[in-house]
Amino acid sequence: MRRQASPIDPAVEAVLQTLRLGAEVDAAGLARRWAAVDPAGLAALVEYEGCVLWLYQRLQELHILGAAPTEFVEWLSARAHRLMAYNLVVDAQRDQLVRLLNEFRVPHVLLKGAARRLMADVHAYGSARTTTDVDVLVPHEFAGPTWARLQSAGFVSTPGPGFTCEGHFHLPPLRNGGGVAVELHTSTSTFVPAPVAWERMRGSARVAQCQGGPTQVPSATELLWHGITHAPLPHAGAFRIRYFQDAAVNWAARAEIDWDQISTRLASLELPDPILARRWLGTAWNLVQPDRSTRPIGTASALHLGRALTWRLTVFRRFGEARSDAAPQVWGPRLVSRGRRLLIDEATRAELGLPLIPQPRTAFAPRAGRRLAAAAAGVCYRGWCTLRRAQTPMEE
Amino acid sequence: MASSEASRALSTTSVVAATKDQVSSDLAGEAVILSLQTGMYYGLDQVGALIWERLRTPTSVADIRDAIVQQYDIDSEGCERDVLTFLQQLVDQGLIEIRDGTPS
Repeated sequence: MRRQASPIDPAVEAVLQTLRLGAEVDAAGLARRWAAVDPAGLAALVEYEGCVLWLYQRLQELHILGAAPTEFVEWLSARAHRLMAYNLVVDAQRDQLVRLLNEFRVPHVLLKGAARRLMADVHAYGSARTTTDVDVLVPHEFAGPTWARLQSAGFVSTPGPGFTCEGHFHLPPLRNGGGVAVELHTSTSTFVPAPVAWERMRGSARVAQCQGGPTQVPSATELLWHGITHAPLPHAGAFRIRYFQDAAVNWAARAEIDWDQISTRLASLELPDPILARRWLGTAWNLVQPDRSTRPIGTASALHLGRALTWRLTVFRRFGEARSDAAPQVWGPRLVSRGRRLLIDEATRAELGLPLIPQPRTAFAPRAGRRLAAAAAGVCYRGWCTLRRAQTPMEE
Repeated sequence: MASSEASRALSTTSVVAATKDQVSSDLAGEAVILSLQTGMYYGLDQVGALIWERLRTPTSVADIRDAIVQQYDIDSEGCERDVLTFLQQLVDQGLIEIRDGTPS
């Protein structure tokens, strides 16, 4: 029996309704909803969810941007332009890389954001995401020599602290002064052998044009699958809109997805936790079409996105910036930022029924402390649920 | 930003086009332009984006003016003044160049 849904914050409702693809939108009603929104904490939430560009584009295209609170619109607009400008830097790096790979006659397929940025004509909003580097898949036997040739063409290896090739499916990142890293992949996942990854991607890729010349981008099925494997499951951070977007835009574009292939892979050992991956897909589906009867993956039970985002917004409001005009610092190492992320992550884990996970590679005392903090965060969340009389089932 | 182009006078007969030192992208009907020389980025509203779209190929100022007048039903004289001011700003920032010859 389905119990009464818990209240979802009006700001969260407005965000989700605006983002949702594939459904009829009552623009006038949504504008009224936005006009009544309390903007406190909203910038931080949108930043955390990684949906700045998507939200900005949707608000613009529905002609309701002006209905939202002015201070939020000003922040969103400035942030969207800044992120898009950074995407252009990444595009320029992609073009340069493609030019060199074509010169070297290296077969390649662009991955993730670098590919999606070239596919805006096919998957609307697929490119409305922040892209930070250029990922490209090359055949295993080409990877080492190409990595060396790129260094002779001005790129420098810049592995981050603790980076090791062992167990990795890409070579150490390369930079050439432009600030944007290039990663040569030999596979798309730790669990997929390089020849299989190449065969999958190359076998179904289509040709695309960029300023660097002809290149290749993956099929809708492979883009979707890579979206699933790229989401950092089983970490709670995978249940953010930024990651759901990669799956949702494929569905919304009614792209031809080989669901048998996706189901086969979900049933294999390719993912560390296929059940959680199904639930992740089910959650992504809620951003496409709220009608559950048409959910393509069938039985996947999802995270209650409205409730999860309401909690996240509550955290950002409760532990927000002292100055209302301050840029939200969501990801910094400051104690308040880390504390907020812990509260958010543990709530997601509690909703999904996942165990507390201490930070890896730490000594016993910090692990115990982290576990204690995580338990406290979980208690906070359950207390909040009780206070809001949140009697909703954990799943939707 | 000073530019050698800045010293060339813009008129309605000038032919202008985007330089190669920039990349740009549509953003929900607006445009974002990044100067590859300076690393600075610029946002254009929908009218600016409409002009920018035409600047991808060499175009005369008069053609741009006429397109705006046709689209927005405004007076030609005021539009010409605004377009020239806007294009001059783009020239000053090194985003477009004034070319000799006729538009393609």
